[in-house]
Amino acid sequence: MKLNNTHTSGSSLTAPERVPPSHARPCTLVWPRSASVILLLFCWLASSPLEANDVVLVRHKTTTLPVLDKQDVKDLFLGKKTLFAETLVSVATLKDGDIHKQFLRDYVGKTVVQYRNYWRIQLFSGKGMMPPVFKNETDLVAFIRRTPGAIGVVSTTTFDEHKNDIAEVKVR
Amino acid sequence: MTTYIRRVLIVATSLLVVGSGMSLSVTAGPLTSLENLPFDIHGFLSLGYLDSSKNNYFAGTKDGTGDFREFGLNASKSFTPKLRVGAQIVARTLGDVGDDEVVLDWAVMDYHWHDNLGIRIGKIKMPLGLHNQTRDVDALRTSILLPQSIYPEQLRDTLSALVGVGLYGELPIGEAFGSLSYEVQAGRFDIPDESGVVKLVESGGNFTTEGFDEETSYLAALQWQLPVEGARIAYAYFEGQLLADTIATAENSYGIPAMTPVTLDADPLCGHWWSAEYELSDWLFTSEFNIQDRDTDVGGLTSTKARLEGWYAGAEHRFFDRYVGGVTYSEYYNDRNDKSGQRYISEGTPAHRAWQKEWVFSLKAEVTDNLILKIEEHIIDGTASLFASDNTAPTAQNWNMFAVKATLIF
Repeated sequence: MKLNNTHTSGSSLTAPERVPPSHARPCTLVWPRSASVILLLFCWLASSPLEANDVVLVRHKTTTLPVLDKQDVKDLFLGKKTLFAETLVSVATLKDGDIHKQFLRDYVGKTVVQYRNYWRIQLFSGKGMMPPVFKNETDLVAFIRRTPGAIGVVSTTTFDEHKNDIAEVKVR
Repeated sequence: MTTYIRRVLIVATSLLVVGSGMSLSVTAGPLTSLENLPFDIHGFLSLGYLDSSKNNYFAGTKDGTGDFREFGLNASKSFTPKLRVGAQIVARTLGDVGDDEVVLDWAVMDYHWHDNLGIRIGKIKMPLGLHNQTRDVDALRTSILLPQSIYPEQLRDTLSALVGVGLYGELPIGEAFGSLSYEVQAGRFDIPDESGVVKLVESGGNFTTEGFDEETSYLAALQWQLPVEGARIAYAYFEGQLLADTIATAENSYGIPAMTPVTLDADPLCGHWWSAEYELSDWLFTSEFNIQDRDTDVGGLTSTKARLEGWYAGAEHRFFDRYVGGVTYSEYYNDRNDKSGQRYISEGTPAHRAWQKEWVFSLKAEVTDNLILKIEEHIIDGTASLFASDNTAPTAQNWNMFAVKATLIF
């Protein structure tokens, strides 16, 4: 008996009857051969560490953070890490500009557009909220100054101007 | 010049002209009036056009169709640094699926207890492949249509989200090994009235759908960020059950008396998804592979077994920061044990119903932060993804499809 002999789509709940010989048990795991090749290819590739200049990672004055490494910084700005010891950290970013571009390139490995799209993916899939975004460094510093746990990135010049308001996060 | 090519040129030119005009009037960044709300609000609106040379692709594409659009709006609020609540509604149309019906896309209460463990309760998007959770948001990918080999349109709104509970977090594996994140979910489908799965059940002309009984489904997903900058691989397993309550039609091919209630029981409905992505500077390389089992009992009268296979590989290049060009090749088979369609031949139907192989060339322009324009050409061999109800005339093995889309997002 044909379940659906006029249906051109076999990808169907009512697809024509068939019992493939090698399909005795449904849901059995099949490892795609191409996956092995792709995995090997990835393992060959080496990462290229990036150097950063002129940008300073800053924090709210009362927020205590250990010396971070680049991976910590990346995880923080991608929302993958929010806790260091007992300190809950939330990031804030600039909207655009050379400092923002340089930081994203050197620490996060993304362009401004790629970084925004990353957060849009989190946002529109219900997995997260975008970090607060500020049009200039003055507004960003003001936010960090009044928000315990907040961190962000500013230029060395701006940091020097606000040394009494915010503190530097050391990055090794 | 054929009619198809002429229509493609007219629409492409129109898109460029309209896009250029819109880019001058759309502001960059969030809408100012929304910045002072007590919660975050974001949304998108996509309008598309599909035009195919020979076969109808989920809609009347042979004549060109604008019945191809999506709308979404979400709101989120963090009540504490660890507790977030949000929801998103969407409406979409592709041919006669969706019908602009506004449905709840996701709605979650998310408690991020620790980086290693968080819990989400509500309607949760399913991480089946790299794009399933954001497939309604056209702006977040380069292609207009996702590869049907991994993301079939028929089940788009079914394999979208589960109403239930999910756990997620990052597993500590040591920085030398990258990072490993996980998601596990348990819940039930929430199938909208105008779902693609309704069309799937009814397409053969045997049944009309009365409703669905959704049993508890389970999902587990892992994503490994390799210790290589920009590289990740992912795996997801899903297993569930879906019962469709139907009424036999007068012309059903089973000999069932008309108007008899028949339950179609898809058990198990399960699949494996493997994904790999490597982002190297302005290049993005992606490949995904999927096996799905759909064993269906038809009212206790008979049963069907189907093991579907699909994969694709693609490369994208971003240039001038706001433009992305991409090429993707995909293959999809209705039965991985009969890729040449011998069964279809034995039934006197074209073998090309067994497969669908596509080359897709895409161009995306992020005209502003809020306006995205796309243009895309499909070169297709096979008809495995098509519906009979969309193609009453004989189908052609080799055909083309052209797509354009404009999206506003904020």
